[in-house]
Amino acid sequence: MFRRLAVLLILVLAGCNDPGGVGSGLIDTIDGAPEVVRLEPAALVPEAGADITGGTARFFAGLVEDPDLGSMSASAYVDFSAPASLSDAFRNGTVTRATLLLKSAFVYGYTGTLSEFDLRTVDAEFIGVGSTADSVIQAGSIIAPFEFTVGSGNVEIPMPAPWVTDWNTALRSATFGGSFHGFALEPRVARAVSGFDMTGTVLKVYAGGDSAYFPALTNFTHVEADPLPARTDGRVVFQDGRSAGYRLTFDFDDERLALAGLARGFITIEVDTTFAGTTPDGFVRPLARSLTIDAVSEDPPARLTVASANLIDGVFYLEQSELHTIMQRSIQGDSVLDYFILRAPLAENGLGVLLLGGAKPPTASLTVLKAE
Amino acid sequence: MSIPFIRSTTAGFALFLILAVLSPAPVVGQGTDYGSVYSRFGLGERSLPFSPIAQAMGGGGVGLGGTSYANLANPAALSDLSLTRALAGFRLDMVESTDASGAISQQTAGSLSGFSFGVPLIEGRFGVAIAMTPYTRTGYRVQLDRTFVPGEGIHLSDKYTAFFEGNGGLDRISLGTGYRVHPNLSLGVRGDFTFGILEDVQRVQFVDPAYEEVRIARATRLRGFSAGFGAKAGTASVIRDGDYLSLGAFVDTPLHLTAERVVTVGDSFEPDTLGASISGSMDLPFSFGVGIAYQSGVHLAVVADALYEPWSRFESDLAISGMEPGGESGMKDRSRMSAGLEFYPAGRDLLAGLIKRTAYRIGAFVEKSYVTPDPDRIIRSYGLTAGLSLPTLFPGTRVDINVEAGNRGTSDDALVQDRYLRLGVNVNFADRWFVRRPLN
Repeated sequence: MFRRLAVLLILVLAGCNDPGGVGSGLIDTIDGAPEVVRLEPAALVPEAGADITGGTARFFAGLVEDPDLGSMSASAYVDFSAPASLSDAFRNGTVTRATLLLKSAFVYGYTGTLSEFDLRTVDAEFIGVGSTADSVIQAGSIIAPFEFTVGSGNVEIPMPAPWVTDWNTALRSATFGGSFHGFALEPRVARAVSGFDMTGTVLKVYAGGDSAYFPALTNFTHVEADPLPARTDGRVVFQDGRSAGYRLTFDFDDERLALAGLARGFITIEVDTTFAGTTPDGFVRPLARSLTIDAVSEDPPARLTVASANLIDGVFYLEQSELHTIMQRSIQGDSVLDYFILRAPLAENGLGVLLLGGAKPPTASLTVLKAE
Repeated sequence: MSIPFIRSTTAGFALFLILAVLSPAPVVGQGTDYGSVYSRFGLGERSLPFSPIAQAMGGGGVGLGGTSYANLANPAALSDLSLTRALAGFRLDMVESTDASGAISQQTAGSLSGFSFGVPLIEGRFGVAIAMTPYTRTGYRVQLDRTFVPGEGIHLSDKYTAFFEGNGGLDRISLGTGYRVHPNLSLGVRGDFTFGILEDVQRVQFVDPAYEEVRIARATRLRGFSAGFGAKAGTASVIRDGDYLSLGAFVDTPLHLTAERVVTVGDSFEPDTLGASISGSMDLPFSFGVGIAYQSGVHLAVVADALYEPWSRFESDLAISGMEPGGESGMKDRSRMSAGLEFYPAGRDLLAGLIKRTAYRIGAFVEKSYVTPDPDRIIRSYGLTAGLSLPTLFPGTRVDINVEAGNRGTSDDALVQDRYLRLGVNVNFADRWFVRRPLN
């Protein structure tokens, strides 16, 4: 007895706490077990309006007739900025030639075919960031026609001598940005839409025995396309550039989530990856490899990107701390969230397609701990 | 002409009062440490009346006189006050719990055990006192390592640890007065404001970093007023000359508590409310106690006490552990019996040595708890108490050191057997206030 008391006394003085599992029989431990609650949206509702195609990582130009999705026409507008510094030789020299280098990154349509374009001036400054595909930018006069074989790599467009002469002074001046507003790439004849990376697309200018790279600054792609076709199997087609996305509304008031704390929350988007491959020979219809989800409030109006994900084994797992926070607040009933919008990310945009829904609808999986 | 004034001059007394008054209310009787898992049930572990003397003598003391401390458990004893008394204490609890598998857990908790302040308005006849003491105390922690079925998604581990924790408790501010209506009879009355927060926390930590820790707290804020009435009668020379026998009894009225329950998620610093708060009420039963004290001269005192509280009448429209409204109830009638003995070798010899001027106390008790996790089982406790009351340089001021070793429950079935050790250190200041100093 004295020994036990002595041990207890030592533990008291040491402030020891070793709770262990003793007493678990007195607690309904089911209360302490996490549960996984799955929510499915009532429907995938097409988001009205056009996709954002300005200020993106890629721009597109071309014409295509998709046997399943209809026609699409894309015109690209790209502005360039002056290099951070120019050599004295360049500034004091004369521009002898210039080349527009387009970093090829994407093909939607028939590869190996010839695409013909007009390269035009853009006479007024345009705002790329946030512009939607149905925005209109007035292109100026034709600088030169050009053509390239789709899928054959980067495109080099030598600028014609009159253009070089006209822009000799501006290209070497410190006020280049204020006088130059970019080029427009308008398709004339094509069987594919080509995509180009902003990174790597440059205007290379030679002057005074030196050369300088004028990097692409901003862009915009104007898209005209047939509406995406309705399907009879309950599934929906998504195409980046053509669709502003789909609304998802989850019922966070579900009684299974009453008085619940969220340990993990993510949204699963399963897609039919075979859809992209069901095309005629030579026709490329890429999958959308990335998806982003925005949380939207209508009152007050607000939109916040809460998660992005890449396609892994036919599934997008959208999971990020911002999404977790929105979900937890929605469970608590103190979120202004009205719905989510599933869309393609601006940073990895393309014209990729997805076949969504049907027997495998998007699902919000919430691992929760419920209050006793 | 004479002027009433306060004659207290000891810096220790003033500092003591300041510290006691400024102590935040939640500290009294509560701590962030943990104790018995039984405190999860009902409103927590019932606290004993705050009296170092009674606690060292089994925990009763209803029949004890109130000359040496403000005995608010039986307000009639306040009539005995002859000196202004201020009492504050600190206690440490160590609990070792064992279940049927033989698994052992050990937990400690430290807290202020209370504060009381009593003043004799008419020395030996009419006294008042105020006290702040714990009424119940909740402090437990159970930890379980488990696995779960995570469903789809990318998972590194399905292991998690669930924690069930509780803290808080009810505190009571009491204001009482006692009056000697007859040389052999005193009556007293006390008003109580009972308040506090009971918090039960579920917490889950996952091994897989993809999962965030979840903490859900259910906090129930309670408050209510009640009253207590006491009587104490005594007579001298019962068995032999110089002895004194006193009988005491008290009744505390039923206590109606208004309740507001809030469930929150998130850490304890910035929790978010889950759902709307829920209002309700709880009705606690009356409490009745009787005690007898026999003093054989000035050296020896013996006490015996009995307490009864019909908690089977407890009602609540909010669910608490151990009771579902309209459902199964683990509330049981509480009873407690105790007895103790005090030996004071010095008697009235103020010049005796330290050893002789120390009071030595022992006691024992048995108790039937007011709540049980298993309605078919009753949780019983028993234990031994002991204490020393050490004199100080200040006349009437003493330091009381108590120890209680007890056993609660059983490790049969799903229950838990607690073996606990409770240490208490109390400082009992005495001074003479409100005396009239004659003017020359």
